[in-house]
Amino acid sequence: MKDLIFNVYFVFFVAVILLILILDVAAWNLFRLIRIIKKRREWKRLGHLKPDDFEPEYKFIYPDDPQEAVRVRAAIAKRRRRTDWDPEWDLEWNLGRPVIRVCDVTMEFLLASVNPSGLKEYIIQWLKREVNYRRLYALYHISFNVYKGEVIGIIGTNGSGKSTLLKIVSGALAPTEGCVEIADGKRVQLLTLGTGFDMELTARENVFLNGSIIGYSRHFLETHYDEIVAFAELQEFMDEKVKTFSSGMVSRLAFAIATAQDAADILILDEVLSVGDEFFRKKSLERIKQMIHGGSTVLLVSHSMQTILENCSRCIWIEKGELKMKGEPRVVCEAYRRMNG
Amino acid sequence: MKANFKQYLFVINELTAREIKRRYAGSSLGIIWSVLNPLLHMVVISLVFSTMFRRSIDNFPIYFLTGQIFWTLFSTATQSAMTALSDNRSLLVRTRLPRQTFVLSRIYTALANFGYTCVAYVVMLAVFRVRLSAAMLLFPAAVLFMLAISTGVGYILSVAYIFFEDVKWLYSVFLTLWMYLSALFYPVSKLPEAMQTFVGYNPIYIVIAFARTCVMEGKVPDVMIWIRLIGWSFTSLAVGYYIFRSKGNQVMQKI
Repeated sequence: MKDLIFNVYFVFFVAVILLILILDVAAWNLFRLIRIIKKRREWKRLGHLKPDDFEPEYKFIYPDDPQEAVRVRAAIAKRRRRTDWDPEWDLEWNLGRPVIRVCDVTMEFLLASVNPSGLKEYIIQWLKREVNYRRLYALYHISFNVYKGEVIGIIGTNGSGKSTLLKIVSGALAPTEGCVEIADGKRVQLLTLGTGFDMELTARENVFLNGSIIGYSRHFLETHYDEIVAFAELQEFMDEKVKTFSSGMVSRLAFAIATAQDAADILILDEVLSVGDEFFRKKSLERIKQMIHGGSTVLLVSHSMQTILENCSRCIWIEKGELKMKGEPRVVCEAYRRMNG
Repeated sequence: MKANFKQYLFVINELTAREIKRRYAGSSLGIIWSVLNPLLHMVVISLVFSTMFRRSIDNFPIYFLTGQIFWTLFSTATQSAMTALSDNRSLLVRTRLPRQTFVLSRIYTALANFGYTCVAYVVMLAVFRVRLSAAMLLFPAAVLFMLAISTGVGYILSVAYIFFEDVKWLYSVFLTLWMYLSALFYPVSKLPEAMQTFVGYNPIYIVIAFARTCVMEGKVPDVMIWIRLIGWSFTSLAVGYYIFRSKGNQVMQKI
């Protein structure tokens, strides 16, 4: 009899836990659905284009059927006469299919207005219904295209959403709304220095750790190990722990690992070119230029206008999560300088 | 797809190698400690326990050690998996690696340490003259069940830890309670009958009982034990993975 009672208790206990879990997940999904519906309404009200609205535009530009092509050309010519012609469409006409297409990307973070530091406080606040979330838009309806062989500079003040944008393009973060499309079979590589370096390990071990995280195979790392070391000019230090390195040495090693493979189709550089001494900077710039020559497309974030002006073919200015301006680097940089005094 | 999978294995391997290398980084014996440390512990434990509790259970040191190594596997795997996401915060937001990689690498680290402990365990088995039997081949199955259970629990904890850091302290208390309910150092038959039934559903106890049956008694465990274990591992993995997947976006926003 006791046995039976315990069995019943056990099943009941497990069932209650499972029920709570399922209800929680269901509630969360329901809230998400409601939010999406609200968003759609807002879009309609503001006359914003939904990501789906972009689709036909791009799909019809490259028809294989010649008759279709004639029709599309006519359609585009008709659009060209419109007042809202976006110069981006010209670029697409001239440069072919974009390598990266960022469509109406919005990234929204929920910040708890009363930040509960623990479970207890959270429950108390939840009971008192005090947990309100503040919406923070890190990015708000951003769209742009990147074409093959371009070097795009991204500028903006601190905290304006540049790094978030790079993370979204590299695929590490999923946008709340909108989409990022990468042309088929293109490998994206986000290069931020020192990702996955462990200060307690030796430089040699770090090459393998960091390389594996970036996405190199074991075979590749073994065969290219000497090249990496030679480029970083750290031959004598490979068996030292990285914590004894200077920051310049660490970034040299990081750069050497990150650029070891010359066939990264899309390279995203987050403040990479402003490290190391003058000579190494020159060398790394040389490396980047080689990559561009080999067909890589580069997105480059930098606070140094000099770097942007010297290397970029186009420039994008993001301010407080909104796309402020895009175009000729000289023009955009000028405007950016004027804005910030 | 296949290449990707291989790449993830390589990453998990490297992350695990990092954890293991770091652990004994400063000591002069280095990696040898991985085997030596559990062996010394076991010697002390068996010296202490071979004089106590002797009457109620035969071969008490082995009885205790079998439970102990599985308990350590479970507790280290789940506790380290819990902090996996928040420790690797910077990696998580900058790379395209699937989030599971970090949790799995912590579980794998625990498994590797368990492997070293097993070397010591085999030595102890030889010292205490445990008879070899074909049923011992089922020992890896017990390990597999334990891994499945801890992976599921680890998934849940790692997500929970992102939202509430208090989980760490709650869980350590909970683990202590759980340990006493897992019959590590007492025979279950000494418990009151109601408790016996309750402990009979404890997944950790079932795994330990499974291992004890096949190592110490040289018998293939009962069908009921198999069913319960398969049920628990499946449930744990499914619930854990489901929560991990469904909370994925929230985790990224919170980080």
